Amino acid sequence: MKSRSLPIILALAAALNLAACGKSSTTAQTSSAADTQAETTASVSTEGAAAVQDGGSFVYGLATEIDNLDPFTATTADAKSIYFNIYEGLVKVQTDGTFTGAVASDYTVSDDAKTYTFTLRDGVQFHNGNPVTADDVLYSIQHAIDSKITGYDNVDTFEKTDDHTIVISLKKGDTDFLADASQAIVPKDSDNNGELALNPIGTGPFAFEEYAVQDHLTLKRFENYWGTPAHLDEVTVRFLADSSQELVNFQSGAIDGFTADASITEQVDPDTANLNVGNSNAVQALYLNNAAAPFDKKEVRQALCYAIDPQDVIDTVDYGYGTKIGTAMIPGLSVYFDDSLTDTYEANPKKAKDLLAKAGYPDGVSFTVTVPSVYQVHVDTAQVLVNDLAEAGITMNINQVDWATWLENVYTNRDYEATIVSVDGAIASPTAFLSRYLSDAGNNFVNFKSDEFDRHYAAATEAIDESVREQEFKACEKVLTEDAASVYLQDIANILVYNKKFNGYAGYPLYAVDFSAIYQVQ
Amino acid sequence: MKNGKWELRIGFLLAGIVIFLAVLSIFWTPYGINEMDKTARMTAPSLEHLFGTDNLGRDVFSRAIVGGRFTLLVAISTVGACTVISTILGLIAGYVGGAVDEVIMRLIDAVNSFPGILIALVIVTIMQQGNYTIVIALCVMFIPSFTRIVRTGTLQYKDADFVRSNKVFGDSDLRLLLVHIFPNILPLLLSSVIVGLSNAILAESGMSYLGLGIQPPAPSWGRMLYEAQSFLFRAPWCALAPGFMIVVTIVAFNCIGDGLKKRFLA
Repeated sequence: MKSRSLPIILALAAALNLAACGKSSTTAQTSSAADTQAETTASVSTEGAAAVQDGGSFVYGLATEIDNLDPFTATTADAKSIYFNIYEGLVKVQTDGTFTGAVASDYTVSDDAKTYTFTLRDGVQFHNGNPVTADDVLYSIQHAIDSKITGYDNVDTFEKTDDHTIVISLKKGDTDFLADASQAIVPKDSDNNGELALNPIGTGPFAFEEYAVQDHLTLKRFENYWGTPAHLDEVTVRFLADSSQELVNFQSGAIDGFTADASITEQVDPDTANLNVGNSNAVQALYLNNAAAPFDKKEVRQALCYAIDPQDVIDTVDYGYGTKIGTAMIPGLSVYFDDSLTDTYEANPKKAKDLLAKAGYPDGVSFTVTVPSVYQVHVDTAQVLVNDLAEAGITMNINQVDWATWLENVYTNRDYEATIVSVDGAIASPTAFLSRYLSDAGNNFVNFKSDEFDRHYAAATEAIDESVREQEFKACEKVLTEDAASVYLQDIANILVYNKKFNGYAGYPLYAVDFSAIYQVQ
Repeated sequence: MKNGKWELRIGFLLAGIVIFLAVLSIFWTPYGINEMDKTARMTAPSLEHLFGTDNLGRDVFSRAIVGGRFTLLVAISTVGACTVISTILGLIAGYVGGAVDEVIMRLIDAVNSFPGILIALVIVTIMQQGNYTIVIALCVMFIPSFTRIVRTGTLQYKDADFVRSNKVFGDSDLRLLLVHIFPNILPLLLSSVIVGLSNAILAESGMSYLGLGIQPPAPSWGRMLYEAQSFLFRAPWCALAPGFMIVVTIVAFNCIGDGLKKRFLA
């Protein structure tokens, strides 16, 4: 087996163009605010506004296979980033993080944030040609409740007052329900047995065409889209084995674009490709199993925070493009992000040792970090952390597992000591990042328990006054940071690399690849 | 001129260099293997960094020679353990014969009927992943071929006149096996063991390349190749260095194996 790959590697190396690639001229740093994410950074064509040409097809490379396309059961961020183009909710997130009507043309929120009234837009069609009716919306809401979609456990009653009006009443006032209302609207009875997983039907700018497992997924422009139709005729998502395949395929022209980590700035010539630098809008952390020794002791978790310098990870693994976070919130949600927490723990090995001694581990601790091998960025992060931790007398052993094993053992069964991943938010809302830390949350895979956190979280979601809400969410973040629920590292830079033949891509404060904005340049 | 002289000379010279570097790495490396220099990542080979630096700014030469240590250690312990087990199995099967021979050899056939790498994968999956699991996995993979060699040799000498005569003089079975039969098989076994070493190095590299061998941050040649593949174009030296080391080592061991075979069996 090795005897086969070695000659290939040597042959490739021999054929290499050894000319120095030079440091990319990407100058923009990652912005912490979502609204600057849309800025296309390096090397946009200087020939002024290139003419927009409709039509054409775009091939997008993806290094992980999506799990499925059912908006009620899909779990991987990559699946969500793709089906963002297929489904729409009553409202839809914009690039600046606000929400505007999609399937609903208008909405009103009662003063106590308990009653949401949506007016359905006229002439919205599903990809199968049927118009969207109030019954479809009611079905989708019920299905979201049944599927335990975040936020829907708060729905008390929902009804249609007429064919164009849906009224949703909540058990507790929640000003954040609008974000939850971006959950997909699907045809009535279309997903009773999860049929959407392989045959998605939505109202988005692209309709599902074909899915060949482990090979590709094809989307076609939806001609009867209610809004501005997409420029591209067709988008093909090709599933590739890993990031090096993405790069090779991109350079050979087999794919037109892919999402990459910051190392791509060293590998792609910015003169030949558009590089859109944004955040991945996910919280990368050394997640600690708060229920497993030694991390059931707060001092040990804090010791790890003191032992680790996230800036080391950002500079070494993320080429300086990542954004320091310090808590479980992305900088993209700037209103709710408490950036004063980033400096809670100054790197201080001495203090880490003292805390360990206090917790009853005077000789340091040793633990195993389970890292999904498919994400080289997390494996590299682990290697940097090994160095940081060693200075504080903490031994970290790395155990790489494949993605399916990770999902099973770490995420579902919570049978692990520590892990490094990035956790994304399904919707652009602070609840998406914080709700998993509630003591009884089903997806609380770090087993964090804090009455104080639960109290602040409840206060935040019940708050009517926006400033109280902000304060309470920030209080939640503070609890996470001070209790050291995990060691929060960064929001990894996420760079969409795409061919100069195209332009127009814009980023969102959630992990989504919006194909409808991309157009051909002529 | 003796047969195989040149093969042996070249083999020992190359193996000597590789082993010297591996041993040297215990006491001294130019840079720490996990020492990261953010300001000097992916720098091309130079006097400062003989084989350049990788994506995390680590010195590739330091990692390559320490990686050699890990790889050689895995290879030697694998082949060593495997040789002992195979010799015992092969001697018993060949000497006792009959039902015992049948049972042992059919088991060996069963193991042999699966692709080696598949067996290794299964073992690594079942057992806790770690730096020593791979030794066991590779060991199982190599036992069949070694056992066959020993068994065939045993059958060949079992009925030889000198063995029979010693039996008549009252030597025990154990003595016959160890003192009279085994030494005659040794040359053949030795050359197979040396070639086995190079196979073990390739297998270890393969497993590590798949992410199932040595766990990071410890370097092994396969692991280094694996990490280098994502920036093959930007920093080819990261892949070339461990690749080159593997080639040199394999050539060395194959030369020695060939040389020994020619010398003793010609």
